[in-house]
Order: sequence, then C-alpha cells, then structure tokens
Amino acid sequence: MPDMQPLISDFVLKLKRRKVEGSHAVARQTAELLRSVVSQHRMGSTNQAAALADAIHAVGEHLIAANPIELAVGNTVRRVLHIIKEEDISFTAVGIEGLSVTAVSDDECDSGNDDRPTLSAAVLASHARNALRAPSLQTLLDDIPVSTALSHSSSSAGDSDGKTGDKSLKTRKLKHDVIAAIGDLIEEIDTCYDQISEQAVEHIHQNEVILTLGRSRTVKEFLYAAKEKKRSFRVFVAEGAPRYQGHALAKELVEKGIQTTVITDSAVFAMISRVNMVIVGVHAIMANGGVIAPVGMNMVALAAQRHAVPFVVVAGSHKVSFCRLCI
Amino acid sequence: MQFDDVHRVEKAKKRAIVNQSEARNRVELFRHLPQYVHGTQLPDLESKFFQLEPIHPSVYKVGLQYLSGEVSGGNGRCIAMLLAFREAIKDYSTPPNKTLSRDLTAKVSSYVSFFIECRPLSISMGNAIRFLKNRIAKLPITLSESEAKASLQSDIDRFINEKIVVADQVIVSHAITKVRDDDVLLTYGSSSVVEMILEHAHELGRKFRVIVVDSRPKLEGQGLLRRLVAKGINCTYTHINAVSYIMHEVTRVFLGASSILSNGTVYSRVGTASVAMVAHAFGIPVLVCCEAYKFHERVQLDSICANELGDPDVISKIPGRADLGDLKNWADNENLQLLNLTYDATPSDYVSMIITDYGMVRYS
Repeated sequence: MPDMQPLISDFVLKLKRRKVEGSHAVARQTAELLRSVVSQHRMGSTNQAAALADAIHAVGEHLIAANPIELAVGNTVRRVLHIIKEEDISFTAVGIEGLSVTAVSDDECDSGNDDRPTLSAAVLASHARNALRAPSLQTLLDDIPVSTALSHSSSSAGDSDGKTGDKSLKTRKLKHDVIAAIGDLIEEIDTCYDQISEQAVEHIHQNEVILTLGRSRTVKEFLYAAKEKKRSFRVFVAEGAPRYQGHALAKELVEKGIQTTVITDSAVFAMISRVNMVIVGVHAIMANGGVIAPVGMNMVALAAQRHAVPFVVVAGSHKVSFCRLCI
Repeated sequence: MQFDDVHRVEKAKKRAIVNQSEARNRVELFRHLPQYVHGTQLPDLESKFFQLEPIHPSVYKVGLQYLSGEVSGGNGRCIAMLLAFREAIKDYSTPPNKTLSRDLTAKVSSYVSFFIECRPLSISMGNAIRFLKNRIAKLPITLSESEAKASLQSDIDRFINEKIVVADQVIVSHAITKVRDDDVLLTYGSSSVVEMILEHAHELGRKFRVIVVDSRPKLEGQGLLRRLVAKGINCTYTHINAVSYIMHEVTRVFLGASSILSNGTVYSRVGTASVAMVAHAFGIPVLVCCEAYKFHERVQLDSICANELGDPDVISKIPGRADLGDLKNWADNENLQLLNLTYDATPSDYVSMIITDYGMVRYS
C-alpha cells in the first residue's frame, strides 16, 4: 500500500512529537487511520484475513513504537485485529453454511458425492476460532483437521460452476464488514463520555461528597450529568501537582454551579474521612485490574482503602489495555 | 473559642487589636475554626507599633513575626514566645493595690490573646503557657517583686534549656542508633529535630542519603534541602505525589511532630499522614521524633475537629507558573472555596516508634 505510507508516516510523526495528546484523540485517529489502511489494502485470493491482519499488525507496530506510553494506540490496533478475526470467523461460518446448503442440493441430483463430510456451520466456526488461537489441549484433541476441512470447502467452491464470481464478492464483503466494524469502534470511542455519563445518576445520591484528583474529561462529564439531574453534591478537587490541572477542573465545575473546594495534594488524607466517594479518571486500565493514573493517585487509593471509601474509576473502553505489567 | 457562634465572634472582634477582615468563601466543614486572611493585617499592625501601651514591644515583635511567617515550627515559635515573655517580665512592675501573681497572670493572658489573633497557638506554645501560669501561681507570697521576677525568668530559662535544647540532644543521641550505613532516609517538610539528627549522623561519618519530600503551599522542604546540601549530605528532593514512586528505595522514614496526642495520634504538618500511610503500605519503619513537652492529653480522631486554616490565596497562586491562572478571581464565585490546611492527624497504626527525650517508645 504505497499510497498509505505518507499518511502513516505523518501520524507516526505526530505521535512521536506528542502533537496528538490524550487517549481519546489518539484512539480515534488510530482507528481512522487503520480504517483507511483496510480500505486501501489489496485483498489477495487466498487467506485474505490473515494477510489483512499482517498488514494491520505491521502498521500497528510502527504506531506503538512511536509513542509507547500512549497505550490507547496499542489497544486500538489490537481491537482492529480482533475485529478482523471475528469478521473472518463469522464470514467463513456463513460461507460454509451456504456451501453445505448447496452441497445438500447437489446431493439431491448427484448422490455419489457423499465422501465429503457435511459439517455444521457452527462446528466449523468454532474450529476456525481454535485454529486462530494458540494451540491448546482442546484444539489438539479435536480430530477434525480444520485446514483440510477448509481446503475441501474452498476446493468444492472452486469446483462448482458459477462460483468464480463469488470470490471477488467475498473479498469485498470481508473488507466491507471490517470497515463497518471499525466504524462502529470509532463511534464507540466517540460516544464513550455520553454512555458513561448516563450512569452518573445511579451512583451519586443527594448530599454526596466526592473527591477527585487532577482533571479528567470523563469525570467532568460524569459530574455534569449528575448536576443536570438535580443531584446535590459537593466536590473536593485535589490540585494534582506538578501539572495543577485540578485548578482547571475546579473552574469548569464551578461554572456549572457545582460546589467545589480546591485542596492541596497533601490534604487528601485529612479530608478523606468526610468524603463519600472518590471518582477519578485514569490513563489506562491494565488486564489485571490495575490502573495507570496521574502521579499521586496511589496515595489517594491507599487513603480511600483505609477509610473504606469507594474508589471509582471512570474510563472509556479505548483505555482498556491488554498488558499486565507494562511500564 | 467557638467560631461558628456569631455572638461570640462579634464580642471578640470588638476587643481585638488585630483587624480581622471577613473571610470570604468559607468552607462549611471548617466553620468552627478561625479563618483569617492574614495578608492584610501585617501593615495595619505595623502602623500601630507606637500606639499600643498594654502590649510589650518584644511581644509585639514576636506577634508580627508569627503573622509574617518568619518564625515557624513548634520549637521556634515556643522559644520566641518564651523569650518575649521573659523580656516582658523583666520590665514588669506591679501596679499599686494589686498582687503580683494575679496581675501578671492577667497580663500574660492578654499577651496570649494577642498571639492568638496573629496566629492560632500551637500545642507546644499552649503547654509552655500553662507551665508559666503554673509557676506564677505557685510563687510564694513572701517573695519580693524583684525576687519573684528573677525566679520566673530563671524558670523560663530552665524550661527552654531542659525541655527543648537538652531534650533535642537526647533525642538525637537516641535516634543516631537507628541510622546505619547505606541507609536511605526519607523525611517530610522541615523538622528541626530531624535536621539535627541528620546533621549529627553526617558528622559521625555515617554513609547515608536523604530524600526530602515537600508539598505546597509552604514548601518548607526547600529550606531543609538547602541546609542539608550545604553540610554535604547527599539529598533527593521530590513532591509528595511521588512518594509511592520513590518509597521502594527508602529504608527508614523520620518525621517530626507538632504534638503527640494521648491516643497515639501524631499531630503534624499536613501531608505527614499520607507519607506515613505509604511507608506503612511498603512495610518501612516510620520513626516520629518529638520532645516530651509537646505531648497533649486530648484525643483527636481526625484532622477536621481541630486544625489551623491558612491563607487560601496561596493555593490559587503558584510561584513560577504564571500561565496557570485558572483560580485568579476565586473569591468572586460563591461556589468555589480554597482550603489550606496546616495540620493533619496521623493514626497510630502507621507509626512504628516515637523517639522522645524520655526514651524510645514502640507502638504495638
């Protein structure tokens, strides 16, 4: 894909120079770039999904290397790869189902062709999924070799008349599905704030006292939504040195009429005994449940644990990472 | 005094020498504590210097030093106050038809109210005042005025010497046994006793390095850092937010205290509780160094029932970061409050040991 190179290098440069900041913007732009890559990709005749996945993988490696700290890049790339796998599996399952239907109709006119086992679409789909995963005990014990089954299906597809036109149709369909799914992903990234804010009323009751550290857009939208629904609460915002973004958040909250008090980071332990809930935004969520958050969050979490105060993390799904011990 | 009771506050204002401007945007949770905007009082008080008869000039001077923040720290404030009282007693003469003990006690009380208006008393100062009033009350009636005055002055000298100066030396000698070679010691803010321990250990030739943790708005750690580096001690300086990041390197934590309460709670500079909590989470021993005269018999369960509120304007301004002006006109908005706490209460289970002049006490 030579025509994609300038776009990719452009984005890599932006990531390296930190021109794109914030996991939301990064995730969105990564997803859009990968969608363009998919649409520009020339699909081969065989093993289309694997080739597409390899192409995305190669692009993804460049992007991740540009800014290793921004985990949203890796998360989005992995989700796109997952989309490709899922679309391929469901696509193959549909294709095989279609083939077994035609095979049955063939059988009606030609009863000699019963050496080909007619496999149900669901069984084949699960076998295809297992083939794409690492070899496990379950896959080793399966006695139906998937590749031969698939090659039988594809060869039978080649044998049948009037099926040559279907190949390009299948190619375009896979691409189309993947692009549509990536579009869904982009929409999911965009609407994450709204979806999280809708749940605000369930968690914030009347006369609530909330503590937060630094500034997170998700937390801000969350609190705005609760204020819209006429919940009365007050917020203690810890400054979050050395960036002091707590000041900006306090100003934004006050503009909406929320009672806000700005405290220094050292006063968190002192104030937390009177706090009902701690709500924070984070940089990334790890696979083992840990979070990567602005400096000082560990102190807040320990203090909340000591005082049995619920510690709530609000984050969009683009922040969920597959690493356990990264960084 | 109950500051949330309007009548009492009005009465106190009429008697006040220091002009107490109305605090704007008060935090509801702390309505029971005095909240002053200190910045406007200093020039006002300076202008009244030659007009105030009842206040002795040395007492006045120390009051101004408290207001401006020149004298800070439990020991420093207590010593300054006692020396001012010593001067005042030296220049005191009993008015006719009055007994020395009662009149002097009343005078001392008036000086104390002046100090309170400048800055709320620390617990060390409260204990010292109680000691002095006790000595005045116990004066035998047979003593002449000059003898009584001399006795009181020597009492004050003895208090400063025994309870503060020698006590510090004893604490240092105890704590030195806890500093070994290749130790990484962490301290928070600026405590006079901890500074003495570190300097003494360095003089004895122990090899260790120090991590100074600091926090806004006072940034007291910077002064300590300068003095330690000048002595040649290897130091690292960081902000309190990074304490969980560097704690894995630390072997021991030394903290100072403003007071130790009777349930074992350590009442100290705000942020001490957080540092002790993180150290406890990492399993690192926390040693609190405190002179015995600072102990108090009251019990405090959290940092809100009794505390001192500092100037909220200091929070909105960040020195060196002129671009961060989000909170410039914070007082205009009734929904926004800034809170500047001075002290906090560290629960006793975070502390491994207290080192006092009476010995080392382990917390079970």
